[in-house]
Amino acid sequence: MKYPRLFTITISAWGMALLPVYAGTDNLTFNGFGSIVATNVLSSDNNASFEEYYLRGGGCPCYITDYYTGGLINEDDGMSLRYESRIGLQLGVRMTDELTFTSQVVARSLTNEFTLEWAYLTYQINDEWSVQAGRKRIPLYYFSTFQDVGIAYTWVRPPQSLYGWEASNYNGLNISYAGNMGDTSIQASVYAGNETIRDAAYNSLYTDDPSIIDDSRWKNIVGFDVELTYEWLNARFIYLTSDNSATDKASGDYEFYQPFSQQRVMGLAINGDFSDWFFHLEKSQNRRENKEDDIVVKAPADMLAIGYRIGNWTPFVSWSRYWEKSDSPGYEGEAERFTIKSITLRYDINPENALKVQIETFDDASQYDFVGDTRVLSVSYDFVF
Amino acid sequence: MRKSVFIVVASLVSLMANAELAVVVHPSYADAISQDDIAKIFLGKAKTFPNGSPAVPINQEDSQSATDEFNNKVLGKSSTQLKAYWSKLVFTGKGTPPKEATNDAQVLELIANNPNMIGYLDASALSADVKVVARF
Repeated sequence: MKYPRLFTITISAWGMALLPVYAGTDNLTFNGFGSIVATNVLSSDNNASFEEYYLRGGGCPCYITDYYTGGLINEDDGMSLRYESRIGLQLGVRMTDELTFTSQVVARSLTNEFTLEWAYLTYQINDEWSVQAGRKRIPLYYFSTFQDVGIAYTWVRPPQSLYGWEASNYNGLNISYAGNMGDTSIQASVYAGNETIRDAAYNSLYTDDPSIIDDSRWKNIVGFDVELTYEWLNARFIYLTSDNSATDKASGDYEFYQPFSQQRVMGLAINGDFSDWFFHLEKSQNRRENKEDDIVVKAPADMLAIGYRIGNWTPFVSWSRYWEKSDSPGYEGEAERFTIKSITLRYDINPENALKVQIETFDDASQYDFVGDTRVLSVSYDFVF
Repeated sequence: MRKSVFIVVASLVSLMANAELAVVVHPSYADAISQDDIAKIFLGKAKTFPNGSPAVPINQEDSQSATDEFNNKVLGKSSTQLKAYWSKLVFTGKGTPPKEATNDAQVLELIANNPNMIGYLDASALSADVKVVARF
């Protein structure tokens, strides 16, 4: 067990928690969430076809806990709280009946600092329509916007087959609709913005020199999401395009690489909830095209998870896969191809506190050296306040 | 003796299980409200009553027996599921849960004085100051 940094984070979190002293009026709201997660790579296999892992200078076989935070753990790390433990604090300020400000900071034990995940103004035009401007999470897949809020889902972490990206936030504008058509509830939004991630943690995974970490940029992000809920059925469709680029500092190039690659993402989620049984089904297609260099990389991903609630207990199984392939000259093959299978048992102590245990098998079938096969045990305590 | 204790306990248990729940609004409200309408208002999916006037739902604190009863019977969710539901909305900026009254008496007081509010309470605590729109 390692306990680095968590202590200092807890101290700073309590400093922030003094805010409710000032949040005593109706115009201020204060909420928080957190997860203490112990992650342990139980066993790992060197894929026979791999000669040398290039991820973070060759520390593999290994397991990527989160692409966005660059968490990479291997068997030598033992049981560690460092990779996924986090705490989030949210402050809402109602300025007028129509205008509110919301900000959320998240501290992660991996980085040992508070990062601003959300900071935006909401103008409520009427009961159905609103406009938001500022910094938000990209509403990509079903769990993307609340990926940090462990209490809101059953896994210890949503599968990285779908939920692993270099960018997770953006600065921009969105217009949202929330209303009903007959018995169907509808939520929809269109959004546009940009995101630049300096020393992107994601890129720290793919470097053979950890002292040089490239910046990533998603420019001209434009997208929409539509979510329909009818009785037990929930369906959500998303579409996003952006112009992606990164630096190549190892080659002395600190400017964002040109030409950028055009990204297009489409996704469909179908969720069913029959009160005891429930399922999540998700399918996505990510396509990145560099027109000038004539390179196209396609990455489909799929996920199916089924759970059953018995009182305070929820056993839950999940299967997902990610598949990155290209036919373009010089890039032929399947650079990354993997399957994640997991079994989770969640126990709700009460509505605000939950415990989870998860065993996960990561099968790496990538054509080139990637992470190898791993079996991972995770235990988490998730809470809201 | 043992038998009478058993009967008392058994009738208490059945009393608790059968506690009738009343959903109440201000007496000036004239239209019908279905269970589905009530659920939509309390889940933040509808901001108005079926007649178009603004609706402000009033929950009770988690510790109140009426709360569990309402969540299960009317919303069809356990308190745990409901917390997960609201956590998702709160932390993605999509909604805030209804305000909470401390007990049946406070619900009565709030509803009797606010034409836009809707609440629930144990039917045994009802008074003539509010109007019952549904019983569960």
